[in-house]
Amino acid sequence: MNRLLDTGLERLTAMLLQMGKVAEEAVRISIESFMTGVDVYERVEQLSDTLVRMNVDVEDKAFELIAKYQPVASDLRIIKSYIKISNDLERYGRYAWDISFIHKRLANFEKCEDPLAIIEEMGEKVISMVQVSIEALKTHNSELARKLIETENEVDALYFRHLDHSTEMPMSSRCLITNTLVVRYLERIADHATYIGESIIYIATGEKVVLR
Amino acid sequence: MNKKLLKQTIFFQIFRMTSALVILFLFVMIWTFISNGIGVISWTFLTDMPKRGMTEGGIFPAIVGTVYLTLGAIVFALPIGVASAIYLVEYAHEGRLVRIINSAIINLAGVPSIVYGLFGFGIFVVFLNFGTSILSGSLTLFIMILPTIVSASREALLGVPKSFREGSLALGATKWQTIRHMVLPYALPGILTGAILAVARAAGETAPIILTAVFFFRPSLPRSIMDGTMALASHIYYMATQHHAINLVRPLTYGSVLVLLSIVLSLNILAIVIRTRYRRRKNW
Amino acid sequence: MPVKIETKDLTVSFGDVDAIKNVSMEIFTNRVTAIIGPSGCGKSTLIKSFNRMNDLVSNVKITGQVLLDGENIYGTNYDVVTLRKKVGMIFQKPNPFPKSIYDNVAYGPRIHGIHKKEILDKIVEENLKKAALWHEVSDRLNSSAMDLSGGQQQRLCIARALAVEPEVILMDEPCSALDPIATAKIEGLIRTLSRDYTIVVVTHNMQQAARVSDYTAFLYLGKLIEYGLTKDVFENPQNDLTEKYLTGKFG
Repeated sequence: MNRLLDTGLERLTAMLLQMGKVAEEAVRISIESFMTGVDVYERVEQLSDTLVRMNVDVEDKAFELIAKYQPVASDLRIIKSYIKISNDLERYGRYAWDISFIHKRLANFEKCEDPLAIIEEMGEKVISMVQVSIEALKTHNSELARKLIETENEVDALYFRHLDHSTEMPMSSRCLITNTLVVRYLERIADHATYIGESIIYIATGEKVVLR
Repeated sequence: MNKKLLKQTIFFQIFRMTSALVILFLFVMIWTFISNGIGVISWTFLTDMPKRGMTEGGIFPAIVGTVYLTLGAIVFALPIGVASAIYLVEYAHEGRLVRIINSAIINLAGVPSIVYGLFGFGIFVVFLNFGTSILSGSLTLFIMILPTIVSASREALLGVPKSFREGSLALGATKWQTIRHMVLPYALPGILTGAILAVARAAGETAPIILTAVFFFRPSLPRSIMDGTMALASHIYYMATQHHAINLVRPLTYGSVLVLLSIVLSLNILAIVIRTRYRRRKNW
Repeated sequence: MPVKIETKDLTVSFGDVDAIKNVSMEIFTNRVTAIIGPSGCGKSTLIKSFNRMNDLVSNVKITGQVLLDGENIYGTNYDVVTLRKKVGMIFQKPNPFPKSIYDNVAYGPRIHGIHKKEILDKIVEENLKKAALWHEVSDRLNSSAMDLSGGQQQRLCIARALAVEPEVILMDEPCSALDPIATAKIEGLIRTLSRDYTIVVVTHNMQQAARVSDYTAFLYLGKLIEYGLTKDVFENPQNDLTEKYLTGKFG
């Protein structure tokens, strides 16, 4: 039986997955360009703005469905979580933009060699987390969502390693600030990927978990 | 005009005429008795004893006899009829007993009145030795109208919404309190209507009382229920068939018919009035 | 949490059909418990077994127990009249008696032997106030209850039930015949009354159950499928059938 609410939920899911695509691109190109020194600032800014708008749209749509259909049980959990996830995806875009912005403003797209290896490893992990979070969202796969915690722990470890490393290594303050901020943004993106994972587990099982 | 429509109009008119026929019959009958009987109606006709072998005088004992007989019948029939209706509607569970009682009521209602007469004669007059008396006649009429009273009372009780009973019982009222306060008061008009119609029918019955209660001629009022009496219906029957000068007393016969007819019709009208007033007042 | 009513393995059947099958549940004191489920799932039968209104049906058979304050109401010595005084009932269609507003409320107390006018006056006023109807009818207590609107009639029925000082109030789809505004008033009343009474509401309106109740029981085909705190049942039902029913994915 097709319920009236189903059409709305399908639309909401489509909007969210579209956001996922945009966010994934923003995160990926901002990190990649930071490593390669390419200027993608404007593109990332565009993507981030799109995500801000889409976040508002998702929230509107979700409230419309609540007002119209008073969803309960799994429907309610989905809508409540989608609002949160939409916010997380918007944050992906925002931190991607932050990376691009710092890269442009402080580094003028130049590389700071050290400790780029850590940032590279972190970047790869964060991109994979973003991809996994979106993949889990597509199918409400709580198993996949639970896997995010491992990567999250690895990202955190790298984050602390970077902090220790940069206090010990002599380097220009420009590089120090740039790298530290970027590492910080990556860590935040990883956090939001974990939040999405928590939301997906809640949708699928009703269980309210904290993956941190 | 469309053929179908024409057909419909024709049938409609035929049906209309047949139903008009019913009214026609009633009016012809009433007119016949009024035109033939009105001449003898007078205060003395209603209040005098019959005189000179019933060729002169009034029909007072017959009127009184009819009143006694029907009152007697209803005095027995109303409490017993209502009580059994209450049992059937409120207490009895669907089952064999109820089915037997129901078919008994239906069959009792279908028995010809002469059979009641013979039955009353056998039981009350002879076996119980009440003789030809108002008591025997009343009891016979009572048995005859009992099914009508039970059916009418049952319909009236069933007409009281179930929600009244539920509402009352849910407040902790007993079954009897519920029946007493929430059922009977609202069934009463219906019961009364049924009772009046039954009385009207009893007043017009001839066969049952001829065999159990009435005399051909008794120019005095009954002094007790063990006395026999005259009655309107039987009086008319005797005047029209058994009298030695049928033609001579014909106007008196018509006069008696008119009186009986008036009584029966007034009772029916009373029943109708009660029913319509009650329906108008009913607001659930 | 003190338990007001407890059913133990309750089965109610009509002829060969089991309307309620082995239901065991606890109804908590001064809480609103909603019973939901699709039509014919046995909701009404279940609450009618709490005040033995099922007894009115001729071919009913009841096994198991219903304990009110720990006492089996189907026990041989239990007095049905006392039970129904303690456990009042509000019906689906407002069923005021065709009497005056005053006499409706006074009916129960009178049945139970109160006849003094001053006492009855007090009872009538008090309970019309409790049912949030007093200020609407205080100037026409002697006019017919049938002239009230549907919502007012239902509140009158609540006042009438309260007048015999019950401890539990059973409501069998109390708003199904009412418009949304009248419904909202009854729902507000249910919440207010739950401070002093244990209330069990049968409803086919899930949103209503969500709004008014502390606990929700889901019945399906006579079986108790799920029972728990309303917020849990509506946010995260444990049983797949409950989930399907709540989200309208049934059948």
